[in-house]
Amino acid sequence: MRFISLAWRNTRRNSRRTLLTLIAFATGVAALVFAWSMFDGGNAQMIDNMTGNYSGYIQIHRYGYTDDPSVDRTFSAQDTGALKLEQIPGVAALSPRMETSALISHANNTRGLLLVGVDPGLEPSVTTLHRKIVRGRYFDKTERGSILIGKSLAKVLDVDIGGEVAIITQGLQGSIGAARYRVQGLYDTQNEVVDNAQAFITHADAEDLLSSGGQITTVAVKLTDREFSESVVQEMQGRLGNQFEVEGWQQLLPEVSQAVAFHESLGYVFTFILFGVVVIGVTNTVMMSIMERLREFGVLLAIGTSPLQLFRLILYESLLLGLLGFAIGLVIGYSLVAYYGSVGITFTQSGEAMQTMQGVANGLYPHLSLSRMLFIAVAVLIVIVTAALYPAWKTARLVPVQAIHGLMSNRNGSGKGISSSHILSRFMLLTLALRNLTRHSRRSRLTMVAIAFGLGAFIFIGSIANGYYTQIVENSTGMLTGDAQIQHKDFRSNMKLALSLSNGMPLLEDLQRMPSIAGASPRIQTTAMITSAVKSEPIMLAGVDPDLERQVTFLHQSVKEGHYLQKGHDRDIVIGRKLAELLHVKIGERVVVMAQDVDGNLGSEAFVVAGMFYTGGHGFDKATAHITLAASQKMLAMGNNVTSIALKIDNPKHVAPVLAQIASHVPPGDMRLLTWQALLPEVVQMNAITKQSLGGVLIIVLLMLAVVVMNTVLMSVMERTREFGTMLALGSRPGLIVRLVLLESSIMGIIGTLGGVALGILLVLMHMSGGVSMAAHGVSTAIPGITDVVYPALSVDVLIMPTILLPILALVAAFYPALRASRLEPMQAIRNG
Amino acid sequence: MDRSPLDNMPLVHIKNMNKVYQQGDISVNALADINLEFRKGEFTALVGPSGSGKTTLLNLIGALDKPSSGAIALGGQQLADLSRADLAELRLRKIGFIFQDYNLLPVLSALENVEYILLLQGVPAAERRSRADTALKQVGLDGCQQRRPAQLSGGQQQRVAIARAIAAEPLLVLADEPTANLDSETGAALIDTMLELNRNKGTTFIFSTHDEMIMRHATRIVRLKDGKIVEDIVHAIH
Repeated sequence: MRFISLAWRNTRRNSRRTLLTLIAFATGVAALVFAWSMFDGGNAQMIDNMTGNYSGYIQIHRYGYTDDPSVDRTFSAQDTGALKLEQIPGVAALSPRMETSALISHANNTRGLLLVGVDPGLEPSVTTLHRKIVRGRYFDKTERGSILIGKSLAKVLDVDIGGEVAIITQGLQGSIGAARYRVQGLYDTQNEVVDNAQAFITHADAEDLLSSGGQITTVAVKLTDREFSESVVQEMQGRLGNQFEVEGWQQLLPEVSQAVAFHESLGYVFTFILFGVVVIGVTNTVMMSIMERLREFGVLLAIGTSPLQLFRLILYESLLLGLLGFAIGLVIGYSLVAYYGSVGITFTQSGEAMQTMQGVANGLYPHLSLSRMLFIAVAVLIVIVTAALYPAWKTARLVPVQAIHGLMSNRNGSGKGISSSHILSRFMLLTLALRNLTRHSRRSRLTMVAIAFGLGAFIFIGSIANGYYTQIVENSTGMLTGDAQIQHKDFRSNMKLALSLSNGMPLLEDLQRMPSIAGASPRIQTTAMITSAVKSEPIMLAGVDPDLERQVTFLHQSVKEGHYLQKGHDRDIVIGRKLAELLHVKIGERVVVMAQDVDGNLGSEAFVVAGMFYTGGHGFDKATAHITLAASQKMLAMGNNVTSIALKIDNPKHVAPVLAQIASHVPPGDMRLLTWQALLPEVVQMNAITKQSLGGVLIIVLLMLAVVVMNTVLMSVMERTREFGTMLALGSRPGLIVRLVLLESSIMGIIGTLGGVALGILLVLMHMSGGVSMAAHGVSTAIPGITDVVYPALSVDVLIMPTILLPILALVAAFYPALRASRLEPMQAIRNG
Repeated sequence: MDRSPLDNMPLVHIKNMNKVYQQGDISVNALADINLEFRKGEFTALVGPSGSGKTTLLNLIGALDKPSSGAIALGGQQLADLSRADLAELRLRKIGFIFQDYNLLPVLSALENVEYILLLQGVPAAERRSRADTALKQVGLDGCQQRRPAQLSGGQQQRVAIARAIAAEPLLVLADEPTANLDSETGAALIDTMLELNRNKGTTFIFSTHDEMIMRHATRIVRLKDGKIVEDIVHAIH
């Protein structure tokens, strides 16, 4: 204990340095605690919300259902009921369901979705949907002929409570089921994607519709706590045997589990950068405090202290400092968490992108769990020990007599063997600054490494984010939207075929004559159902002119089997490979496409699969099909009309004037020119969120670096008190001292920044060709064009801000130490220096 | 340099000066009621035991510290009237300093250390180089110009400090225990160098020491005890 108390007194000796180190540490810990709480809180909300909306924590299916969710893979509720699954510890409730893909329509509006038959008595014990009814009511126990749909779907279908909707679906053994239901209630989960994807009827109605006779596809399970997920899955799988598959929420909601993994890896990267900077800062401080006390350690050794005891003393000092910093950081971080945990953090600017982060639409509530706090504590401990290890080891190896004379055992006299060059004259100040920096090259190096590391990591991560975004934009505009589209102002929100471009053809010819437009492709877009011999799937169907479409998008390049559409081949269809797998169809096989035509009649046509594309975006590949424009116009009774014209602009760098020019060609009325930003707001907002997060990271990294630089400069100034005293005594103006110290810091800042830029660029170049695999971090596929591999791309944004800010920061951070040095009383400085 | 008025006027004029250090509740009278004059060309030793006030007096003369009461004039200029920047200028132009611990700037070579002051005075590069070189030769350090302080012995470092003090040709050189860290032989040689400069160039020196052998070289000895002047002897010839 003696060493602890000695260590404690030592940390209080140089209170300013201790304070600075504490600030650095506490800022880092507080930032970390808060960041992790955001990630964890958001993740928990997302999981609870999504499992509560529909999936439950666990689902039981017939084996193979997940890969190919066919209504024929059913089982009897009695079979599973006999196993008493509800008695497994951790299980709160079970709800049997019958699920099938279906088309829902009202008047002229049709959408594809998942129709779910539920037991009105059991379902509310597993999911929270009954609490999210915003109009009408939930089912009562004996309800018949009613349906519950999402509020946003009701708007698209233009139906309200009491209105009737038609359902068409595939029943068991290939039968077609059709029925009409009365809209009994509208629910709103704050997530349009969810609200548009499902509709609920009672189990009794589902049996009639599908001729399923007591069979079910799914049992959804609610747990008493999410933590039991794995053990319950194992227990259930054991009881049910290999005829069934039991899946936890991670498998049921891969996009949620991927988002969780993505957020966690972001958290680890953040932890790594922050602690990298802190380690260097703390090592630096500890090293300084040791250099200052060499004499003392020499005496301690001389009077019989063992090297191991000295080693422990240094470690204790660092531990005390670190734990105190941790405690302060924890208090600050926890206060922030407690505050924002009660009021929540809202992302009003980013509403639509937040739609893809389910569950946080109404605000993110950070949450700090005990296990996360332990994780941070362990990380802090590792950081402290890592930072103190080297200085402690150096101290333990001191030779007493040399140490008493202020020498490290391996240190030569300062400047020995360096012959001074004659670059004095007006470069004197620069010379002095440079030589002072090389004098304690270890310290200067550490500081510059800290700056370079922080900046390099930031540039690399920024470049990955930038590359990710560029890829999304390229892919989603290149495969889907083009650079801009002309369409009816309401078409995007409700996709009614009646909202077509009536004079589309003359406008098209007009646009094609414009030199700045590289391509203009007329399209018809609608939702449809595609059916093979075994399966039906909802899709987004596009009718395109094969030759013109090639000029605008590059989906044809992604065709991996067969070929893209050709003019005149109006019986051909091109679909995603994932969709082909789901439908069990191969090139040359037939599929039937059903869709409502412009007058509201259900049209259907048979097509031959001519090609399959693979873009890497699963969501896109699963739900997209292209047919020729002529075929779609015929099938949908559109005559010569199209719903939109997609445009490719010649030089994407000069879009604004071209857009203005195009806009002037759009006839007055309800037609609008929509840029890809307007067509894909979620992509734009995702970018905004990324930029905001990067900005936050930059601020914290800069803050940490500022403390590190200030600490270093202050150290070096205090160490040289006597020298500054001499300079002042000899008649140097205080201003000269300020300039010298600022210059020293700026040189460090500039070299560190250059190193960081070089490191960042090097990292980017190293990953430029191979890309960075995001598969392990689970990139969500909710947005078209997102693929697993990200190619980092440098951008001026990522480079320029920190590159300008860092040297300025070094200058600002050095100002206080410089001022202190210049205000020294020469006589006292010389005597006490 | 304006010589004529200085020949008549004392170079340093100290009148009724007191210096009190406040240490907590206790105040220590470091110097009490000092009245002293130093004339041009004198070679004065301040002597006395530790704590007698030698260093304090030197610091006050060198404008490194301010008296608690009384006045100091340097070359007719009252120090109390000057700002911090003016004092820095005064030290730069009119006073040379030699410290007990040499206090050379460790990152500069011997020549650069001497040049440093000339640089601050704005002397052009070529003249600076030759004057620093000359000063180093005068203190017997020819050939050591490019060495850094760590590569020089204690006596050599103190010679660099002397060269630095005289290179700018100040009115007055103040030396606080310049030989305390040196062996007696080296110390005596150093004092001889200073004496030589005093005779040949007329440089005025005030130095503190408690070494009997060294104080014998001085033309004037001012003895201090407990902050008071107890003896002030001028040797006509030695």
